[in-house]
Amino acid sequence: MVFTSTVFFYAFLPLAFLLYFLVPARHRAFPLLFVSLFFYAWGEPRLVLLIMASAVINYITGRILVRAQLRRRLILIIGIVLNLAPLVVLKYTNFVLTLTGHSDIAARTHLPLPIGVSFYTFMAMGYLIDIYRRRDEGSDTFIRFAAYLTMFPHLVAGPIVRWEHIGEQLRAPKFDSRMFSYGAIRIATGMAKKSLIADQLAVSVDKLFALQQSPSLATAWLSMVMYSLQIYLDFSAYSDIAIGLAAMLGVRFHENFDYPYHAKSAAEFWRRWHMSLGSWFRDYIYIPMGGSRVGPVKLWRNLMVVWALTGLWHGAAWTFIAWGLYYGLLIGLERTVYGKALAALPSVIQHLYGLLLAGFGWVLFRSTSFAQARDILSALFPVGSRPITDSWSSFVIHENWVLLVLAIAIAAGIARPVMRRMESNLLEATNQWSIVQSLTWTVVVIVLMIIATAFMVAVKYVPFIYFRF
Amino acid sequence: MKKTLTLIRYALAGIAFVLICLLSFGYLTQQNHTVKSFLDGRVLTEFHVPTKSTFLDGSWMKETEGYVDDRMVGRRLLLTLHAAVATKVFRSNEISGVWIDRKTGMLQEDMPVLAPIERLDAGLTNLQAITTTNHVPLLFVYIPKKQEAFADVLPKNWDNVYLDNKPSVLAEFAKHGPVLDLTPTVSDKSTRMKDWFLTDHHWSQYGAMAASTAVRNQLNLMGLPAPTALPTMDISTKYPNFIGSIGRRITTAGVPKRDPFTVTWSSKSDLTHCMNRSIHRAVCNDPIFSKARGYQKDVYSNRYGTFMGGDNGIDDLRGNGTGTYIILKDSFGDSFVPYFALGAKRVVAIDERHYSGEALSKLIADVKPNGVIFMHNQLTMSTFTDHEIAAWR
Repeated sequence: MVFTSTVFFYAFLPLAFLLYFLVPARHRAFPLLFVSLFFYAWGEPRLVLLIMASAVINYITGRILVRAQLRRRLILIIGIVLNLAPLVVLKYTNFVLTLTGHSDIAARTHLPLPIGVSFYTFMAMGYLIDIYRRRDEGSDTFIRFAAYLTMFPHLVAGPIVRWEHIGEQLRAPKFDSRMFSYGAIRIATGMAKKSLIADQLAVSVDKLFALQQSPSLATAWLSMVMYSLQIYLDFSAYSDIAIGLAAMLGVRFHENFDYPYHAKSAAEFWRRWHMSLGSWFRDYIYIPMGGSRVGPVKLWRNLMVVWALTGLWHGAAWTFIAWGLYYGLLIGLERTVYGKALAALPSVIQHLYGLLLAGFGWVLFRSTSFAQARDILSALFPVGSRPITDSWSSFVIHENWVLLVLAIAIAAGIARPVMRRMESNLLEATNQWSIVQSLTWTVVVIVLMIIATAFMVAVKYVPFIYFRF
Repeated sequence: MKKTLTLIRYALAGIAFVLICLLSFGYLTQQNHTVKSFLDGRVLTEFHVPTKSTFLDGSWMKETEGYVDDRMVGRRLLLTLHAAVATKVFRSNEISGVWIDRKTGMLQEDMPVLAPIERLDAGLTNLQAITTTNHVPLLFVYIPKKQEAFADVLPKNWDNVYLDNKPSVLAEFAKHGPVLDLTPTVSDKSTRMKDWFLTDHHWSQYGAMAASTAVRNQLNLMGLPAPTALPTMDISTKYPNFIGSIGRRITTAGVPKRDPFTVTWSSKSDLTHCMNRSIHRAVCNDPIFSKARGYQKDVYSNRYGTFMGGDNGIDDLRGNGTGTYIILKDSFGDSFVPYFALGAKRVVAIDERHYSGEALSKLIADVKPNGVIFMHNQLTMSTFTDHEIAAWR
């Protein structure tokens, strides 16, 4: 079940809210776990057992770790292996088989890829590592831990939530009128961002990346820009909805995006993009390896390992690994004189640099092969006899110019002051939420919900053509 | 009281959100009855209680998603809102796979994936053998799709698979008999806007009339008894404007102009019509034009079904004119056949998708036609199943 679907908002969510709020706050982990497992089973009726097994194993391992005095590292390692085993087998088997020259076996192997396995596996490993480090004592009840791990707001596409951030909140998540409205506003804006903008961009992006012929200069730039916008608006919209859903349930998630296209360097980009993933790799891989407090050789080793793993986390393909290493290289260089020179440039140049490096990276990320990535990236520069425009670029611009302007405005943060003011007035206890603000935002929520629903319904609308033939 | 009001003030946006979800859910629970939608052209999905197997294989979930999508409160309005936003706010000319020519109002639908024509070869060989054995001439009539008639105004980046495939289709026809390509007849720039519906994928009655004249002329060239020339159409029946098959994909808000629909006929017509009845039946008076279909209230109703009441397995039209023909047709034939039959002695039209009567060879032996006309468009032929191909036996 995806968030931007009518069955989620108009069938699942009403029942989930009813079940959740009918129960006293201190018992809400039960209905939360139940509806979350149902949500998961909707897409994976059999593999729901895997996530349950993960919850059981990690809870037990966590309790053992809390009590153990000896062999704690061994227990942690066993826990990590038990977590990684299904992820590695289900997600990377075919990749490894192809790598080792067994493409024929890979072609015959059809392993299921459980929804959200990368997300909940990392959440579970983070939980165990924090207990091992004695930063936290974990959950004292299985139900609360299982609710944390399977909570439907973050289950499909994150954010990667840490136990230390929400564990206590799940003990007795109370109804909070401010969070309730805040959540609704985040959900409605997320719905609109995804259905109206991101999904419409995807239509053209898919066509552009499926072109058989080499693109013109304009088409290559359009492909890069439109995909950069699509992936940001799509992913951030999902996070908006996840954060909003959690807020309505009385749980506060951390933000996952902070206007990444404002970044002026690769390092800054990753402090603004998918922050929960970046911080996970920093805290659980990079820093334990020594982080930046090592000599240059080890620093580069640390960067390359972390960024290769980051790429691999996104998908089992060399283009993803290359994309990760691309950022590792840039971040490493930015720690040298290169970075100092960059910081001395005018702000607008730095900003352009930030946009371009993100864009180039997205071309690599989106391409199905290195050849396609090379084709598009080389087409970005007016070299040789490549045409400046073609029928595709003219068509896409003609059809999508309004959408593009809107997408760029949103990605650039046109709504940021308004959203920040809303958040400040609504969530900070010292501030007031006036009747005018309340009514205005209520109207905004209703209008965005209706329009987003219209687009959701239209996507699924495929009429049977009378006498089609 | 003050505390409650403060609570409501803070929670109002959230309350509105939840209320909309709850009310929509409540509406959905009351909709599980059989509904045939004019907009969708099908019976809307119904809700079924899950069983263990339908849950475990995920089919119940897909069906339930279909149910919710189909039965959403205000669904038609929502689809209209989508079209309005897409065309008027986002200024798109292509939405939901439909290309909108805002100046003329002509709608074109996106290109399908076509199966190779060669898979029909065995069936067409069989058809040729039957007609040869019975000493009945065979004529292949190629019906162009709208995207072929208006190929010059489609977006340049649309790959026109119909045009790309056409040479191989005509070659396949030519292997089995003489061919008449109707493309020049119905793509003439001076008449094509009248020959095709704006919002439907079919040709209009004017296109059908032009096609019937072209086929008559071809039969004359082949030395076969052809129906006499079309008489003056002195009867006009005006039906309500409608939105056809392509327009339904983008609803009223996306459609610049609805199709006017006036059906003309001749007072001199002496045709009788047997619809889905035995060819041995002596007398029938089934209407040639279905007023019930023509006057349906819903703007999305399938008004094209006015012609002969829509797709029938078999239509048998008899008059006092010249020429007896068996026509193997698709829905384009629904409008073609009446105008072709005007001036004919007998026309038996078979729609292979809905026909399960006697074998074609027996039909030929009983009807004793002057010729068999095979007239289809590429999309029909691309999607023929073994059932349709077996009809040419």
